[in-house]
Amino acid sequence: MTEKDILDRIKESADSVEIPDSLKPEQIELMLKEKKTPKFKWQAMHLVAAAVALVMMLGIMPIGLAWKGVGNQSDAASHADSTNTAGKDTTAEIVVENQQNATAPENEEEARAIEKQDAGELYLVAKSYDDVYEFMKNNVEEYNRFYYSDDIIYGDVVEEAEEETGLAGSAMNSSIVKDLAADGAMVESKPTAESVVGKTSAHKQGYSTTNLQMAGVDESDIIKTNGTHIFVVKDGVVQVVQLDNGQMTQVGTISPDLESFSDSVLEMYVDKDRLILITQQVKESLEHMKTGSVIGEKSPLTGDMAEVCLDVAYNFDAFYNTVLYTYDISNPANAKQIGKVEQDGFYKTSRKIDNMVYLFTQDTITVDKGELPESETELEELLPKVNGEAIAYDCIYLPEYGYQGLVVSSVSMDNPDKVVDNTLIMNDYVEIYVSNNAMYLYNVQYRGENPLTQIAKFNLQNGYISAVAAATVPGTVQDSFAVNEYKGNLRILTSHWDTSISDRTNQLYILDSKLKAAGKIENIAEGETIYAARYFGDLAYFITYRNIDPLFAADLSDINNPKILGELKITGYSEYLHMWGEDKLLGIGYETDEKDGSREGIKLVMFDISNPAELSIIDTVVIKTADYSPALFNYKTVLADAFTNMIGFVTADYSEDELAYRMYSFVDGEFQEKLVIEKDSLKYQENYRGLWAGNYFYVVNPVEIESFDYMKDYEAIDKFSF
Amino acid sequence: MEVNIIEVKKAKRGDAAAFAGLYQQIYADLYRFALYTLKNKNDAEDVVSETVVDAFASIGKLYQAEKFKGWIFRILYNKCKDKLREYTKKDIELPEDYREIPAEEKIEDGVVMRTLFFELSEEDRLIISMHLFAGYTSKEIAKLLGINENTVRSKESRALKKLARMIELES
Repeated sequence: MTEKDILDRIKESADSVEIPDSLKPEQIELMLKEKKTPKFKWQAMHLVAAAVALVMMLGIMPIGLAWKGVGNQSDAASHADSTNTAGKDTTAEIVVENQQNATAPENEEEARAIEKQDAGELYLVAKSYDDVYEFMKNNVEEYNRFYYSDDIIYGDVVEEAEEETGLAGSAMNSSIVKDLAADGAMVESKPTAESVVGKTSAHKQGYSTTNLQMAGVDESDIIKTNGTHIFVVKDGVVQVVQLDNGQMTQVGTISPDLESFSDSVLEMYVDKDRLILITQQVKESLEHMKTGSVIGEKSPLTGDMAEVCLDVAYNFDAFYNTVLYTYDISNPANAKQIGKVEQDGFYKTSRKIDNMVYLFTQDTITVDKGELPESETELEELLPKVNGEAIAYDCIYLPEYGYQGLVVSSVSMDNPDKVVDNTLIMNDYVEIYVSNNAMYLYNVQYRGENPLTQIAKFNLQNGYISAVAAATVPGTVQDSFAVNEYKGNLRILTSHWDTSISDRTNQLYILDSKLKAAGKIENIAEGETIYAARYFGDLAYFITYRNIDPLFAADLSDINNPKILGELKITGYSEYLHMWGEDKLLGIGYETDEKDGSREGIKLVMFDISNPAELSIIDTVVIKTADYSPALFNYKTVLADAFTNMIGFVTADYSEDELAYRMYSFVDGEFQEKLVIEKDSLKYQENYRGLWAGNYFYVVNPVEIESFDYMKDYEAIDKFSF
Repeated sequence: MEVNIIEVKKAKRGDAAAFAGLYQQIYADLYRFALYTLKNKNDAEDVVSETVVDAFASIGKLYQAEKFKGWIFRILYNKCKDKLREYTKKDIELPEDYREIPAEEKIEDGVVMRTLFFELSEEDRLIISMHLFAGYTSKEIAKLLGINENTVRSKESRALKKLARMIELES
């Protein structure tokens, strides 16, 4: 008998132990409830005036309510202390031990802490529901000032608000503007999976995946394959098509239990035997407002003092709700729903890292009709819900101002009925970039003539979401690929109008894992704007443009001293860049006239980047009949795979109202046209996807799939219509 | 144990239902740990119950959600150790209530195994229980017991061999 056998036998013997009823979870819950003392006491002091509507389509009403939360705001620790002092000596001993072992925040473990951390001074975690309430109240005041005050004209408002709040000021203090020259400190961080395009797991699996921004960070799409089947979102269901040597058979559909006709199926993930489907619900309501009148407010439209009689007002509102369904597709013909999670807000984006899905929705936080929160419960009703529960105050991030609520929750594919963590980040408007273990929210903050980009970093660790830091850099981000994390450092390319040269200029900044300024390159390509960017390990490639298209290569390996290595000027410009093998870079963009900049067609260009100091062009193809390609702005529509030698995308010809799916290979230094599938309508131009599985290539759109044998020079095999 | 951070947060705010939800995932092991260490049903029930009260009261100090299980087991471990100390101090005859099992239960294989396990020393029972029910690594056990990691391994190994011999004798 091995030790393992003995252990197993002990374990088995323990399995048959009968557990006393008094220890059953239901009994324990009752016992704990009896011991608990009420901790919340809310008191509405007095009701002054009627109502507030934040961002409701019609109802804009001033607010007047004094709110006060009385008593101990869920101070679990003090509750714990009092209990423990009453306990025995042994308890005290344990608590001391707990403090030492369980509470000491260690730097590298912060990301896993239960308590969310602030994002610098940009987003602060609410300490109580009072904080959330004060934030809402401040929002209302800002809103009313914006719309009703007679001494503010539009353009000044933002700046004045900034001065008052001190937000921009504080951000500026810690910003890269001052820090960059001196601060070279760098925190060593764990290397992340490289955002390089080499052989991905798909090549081992034998089928293509959605074209991603970051290797290892999966993104949802309308069309997916798992190698044996193609899944297509179409008219509120997912069509499942089985593949057999290029032949196609429809074997089933996956229909989520939608509640109304306005519900829509958006996008999905497919990973092994799991399919995750994202749907959007819209609930409209037309409500009669009964709150009475507000006298003496200045009308935002006429400027006159007006009596706003709300008795006759109707309020049209729309509520968005996003639902994540998880299916077991081990038998794709008979998918089984195994989980469902829903959260308020309209779908913004999502990512999947390993088996954790991060869902981002945008919700507008409203307070309406004088139904002002007088209790924690009432306030909770105003907050976005995840799986029917309001997001708790200690998961809410508050900036100085902002009506938009970004709701982020994480769902494990192993337990798809629950969220692992969630957060609400109030904001004005933010863009999102997600790396392998962090998300970055960035937004432009206009301040006089110099726009700034504010960035906040949140760690994503096994589903836990918590902020790390915030920073500000000059300029604005022009391209979603201009922001990238590598080895924990953030690299960001921005453009801005420089008053000293009366022209545009560009810069590259490197921020370390705590968003401390590390290095920068400034005054890049004066007079031009960044059009496309791509990072490849320690190298950055980017395209700027005015009338010609310089490609720049920069070495970022020394994060404190990034350097431009090379520059190459050609006509036209690329909007999308994709690493091709080890030493080439593919650009998809427009060819333009060198003199007047007019567009002359869609251009494919292959750069030789084997020596970044001496960039050169290997080949260029211009498709003159093409006016536009979705590839320029939606990278998910691109198939670019050096392994199978495929460059596939759609082009549109607006003069003929035609589109074409085009497939090129790159052979012996030249682009070779392999396939052109022409359609005499522009329908679905954004919804074509090229994918490969085994030896076959498929062009998929929501109405049909065509298959080709790419090992036999793209011989047509089958055509399937839904 | 997959720990849901939202439930932990709720528990930290004093939500008994949320705490019970977390407890549900481990309570069987908590009880087994206590029983296999103390060899006494009533005492095991008591220490688990006390552990729950203490844990609920001090969960505000738990820093990482994923450490929930290790943390609550540490509270239980300390309570069990106190109980064992109490037994020694009061010179209580080790209460082997499982010796007096009703006849019909005896057919059960587990009961024999359990009885043999109870023959092991206090420390051996603790080490194996910490490994088996609390899921601690040798390193963590070593830290808690204040002994060398290798010693933990060799002690466990010796205890298991002893058990193996006892099983052979029994059959």
